[in-house]
Amino acid sequence: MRLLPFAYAVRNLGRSPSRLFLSVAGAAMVVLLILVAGGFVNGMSRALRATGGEHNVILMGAGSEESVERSEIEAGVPGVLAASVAGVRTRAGVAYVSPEVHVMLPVRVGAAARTTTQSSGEQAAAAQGSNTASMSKPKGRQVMMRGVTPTAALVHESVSLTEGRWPVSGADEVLVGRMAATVLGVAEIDVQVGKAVMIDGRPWEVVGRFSAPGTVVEAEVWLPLADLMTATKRETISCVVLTLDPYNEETGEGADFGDIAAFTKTRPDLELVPMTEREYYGKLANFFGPIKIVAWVTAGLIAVGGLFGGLNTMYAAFASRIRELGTLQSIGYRRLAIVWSMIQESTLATAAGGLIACAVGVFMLDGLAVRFSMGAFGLMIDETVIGLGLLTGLALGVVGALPPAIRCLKPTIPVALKAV
Amino acid sequence: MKTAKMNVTGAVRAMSLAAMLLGGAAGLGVFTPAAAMAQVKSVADVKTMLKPELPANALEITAAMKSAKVGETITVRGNVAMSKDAFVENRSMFTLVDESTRKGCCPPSDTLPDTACDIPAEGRATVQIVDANGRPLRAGLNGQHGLKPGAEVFLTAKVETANGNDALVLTAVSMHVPKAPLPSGFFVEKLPETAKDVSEARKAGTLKVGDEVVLRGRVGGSKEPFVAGRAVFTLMGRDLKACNENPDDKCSKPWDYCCETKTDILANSVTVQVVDAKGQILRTDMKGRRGLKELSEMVVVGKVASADGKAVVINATAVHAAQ
Repeated sequence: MRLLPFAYAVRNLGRSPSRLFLSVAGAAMVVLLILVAGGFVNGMSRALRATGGEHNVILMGAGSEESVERSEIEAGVPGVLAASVAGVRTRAGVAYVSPEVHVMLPVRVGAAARTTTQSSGEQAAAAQGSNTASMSKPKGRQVMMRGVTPTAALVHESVSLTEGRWPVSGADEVLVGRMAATVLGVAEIDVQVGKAVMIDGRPWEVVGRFSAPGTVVEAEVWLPLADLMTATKRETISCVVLTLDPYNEETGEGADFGDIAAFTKTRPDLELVPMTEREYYGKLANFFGPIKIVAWVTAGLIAVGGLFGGLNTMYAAFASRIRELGTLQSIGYRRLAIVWSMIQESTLATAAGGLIACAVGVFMLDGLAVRFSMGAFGLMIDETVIGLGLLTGLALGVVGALPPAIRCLKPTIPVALKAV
Repeated sequence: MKTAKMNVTGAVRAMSLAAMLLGGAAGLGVFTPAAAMAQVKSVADVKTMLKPELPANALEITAAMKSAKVGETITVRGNVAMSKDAFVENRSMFTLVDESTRKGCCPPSDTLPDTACDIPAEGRATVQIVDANGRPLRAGLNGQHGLKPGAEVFLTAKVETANGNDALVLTAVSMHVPKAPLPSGFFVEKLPETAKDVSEARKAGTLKVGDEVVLRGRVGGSKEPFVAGRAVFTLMGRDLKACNENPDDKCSKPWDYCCETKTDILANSVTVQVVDAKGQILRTDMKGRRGLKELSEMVVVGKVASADGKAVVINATAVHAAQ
């Protein structure tokens, strides 16, 4: 079969610059949407998956397995665990056992924070609401607060202090994660070291910042365990996170999840449920499954809309060329060769749109922070998502060209040659 | 057009033929576990046959001996014979013996008897691991993948030879080798006398550390009363009803007694564990052994390891699966 030259398809694209622009822009929009949906799903899954440490076990109150925020266990449990369970990792005599309180609290920044730079008397007044002008403007947002002791830095290996220092208990000091500003809906400068955030109606100074790349922890605010327990008026903790030394079958040293599960069975009075940290965050990821599906369905529906728009454009483009197509047939080109050329023409336009969208996705959207109920995560536009975007661009070209091409080639050659 | 139609018809025919071939292959068992055995080319590949989960309802060898039929796939439990000839040299074959034949026969590994021939034939099975040609691998298995004299083995295997009396040759399909075997004779057939219900014993409040006890109860008390990979579980007394005993209860895990308060569950339960000489809980599953599952009724013989008024832990020395 004799094919039409590739240059024919390329030159045809330039016949109507406005139509070309519409085709490219339309395809770019659809592909961009696919990239956003893919990046969203990817980013959320990865953030939740990466949050759990490989050898970490989380112990929660029985019956609260689905949410650590609802969990309550006695404050003495970490001590019992450290003393009773063999195989917990230790360094310089310190056991990797981190008692923690997890709670969502409203946090305010901005104008309220500026009151901390005033005198202490003014601070108290601001906290009590007398400085209404500065207090009413900023709106509090729910942020995951984690009450911790210094051992939290041992068990959460992905967390590293990037700026400032660890907060001191009793001094109303906090650490903020790298993505806390996104969750709070403020500029980075508002949560810099030295600034203040309003928690529980009083200012807390930001004394440090931390990062935990690719995890939801980055969107949290950490503060001393005792301070958070006082602020929330609770005597129990939410959970204990501990790190195990991997079990060595030859030496019999170390421990695995089964040892912790067995411990909880032999101490039913403590009412504990163990779960690997990965399993816990994996379950949370499943909880957000419907949201991911909605993201894909939305992207799919808009892609279908884009496809129909593309079909319309292609119908218009090809319908005006019925006589030209008849001529090509009369000089010996087979219908299949003409269809192939039309697909080339359409695919060139949509692929260009796809490439533009991918460039925008990689350079402008990748890593873009998105807020969700657990905190925040970055859009993750990796090679899989890019591949999907490019495939969508190509598919738009092929599927968008076929129906109009078939319709335009349906008339017999004499009819096509007489077409107006 | 005619050519196109012929092409379509040809394609449909080809697809139908392929489907029939696939179906036939499945019917002949090409895709069954037997086919998976063909993947084993060396002793290292035996690892692919090891399953992390303990298979439920494994037969003891003596019982399997009576019912096994050539060609069928069965699951048996036994121990590698405690003798020097338990493993065939340079061949992936070993002798699995019934637990009952092991009583009083556990010498240290350096003084193993030369042969396991003194073990009655009806309590022995020969296990082989074969290559794609159906021949045993040309390498010994002693010390490989946890297999050693005395090791407990749960084996899913195809019966090669069986006469219902004294010959059982099995070709392994998959195996589960617990990290630690249960003590010999741990499961007893005869119901221990003077068994007290767990609730009764807990209510009396007389359980003290070191007391010898015989307790009867049902496995339950939480969503997961067994611990995977550890010989520990919780036993509930009869004073509390499992959720499925309440009318109209549709609880998917009735053994968690979620209809009872945590205090009542704690007051009517004991934790049962099986420990080694060092007091460490054995690294083996209890679920699945002798059909044990949630809400199974059991009688446990053992010693009170801890009793602090809230929780009671029993070190079990024998167990009778009542139901």
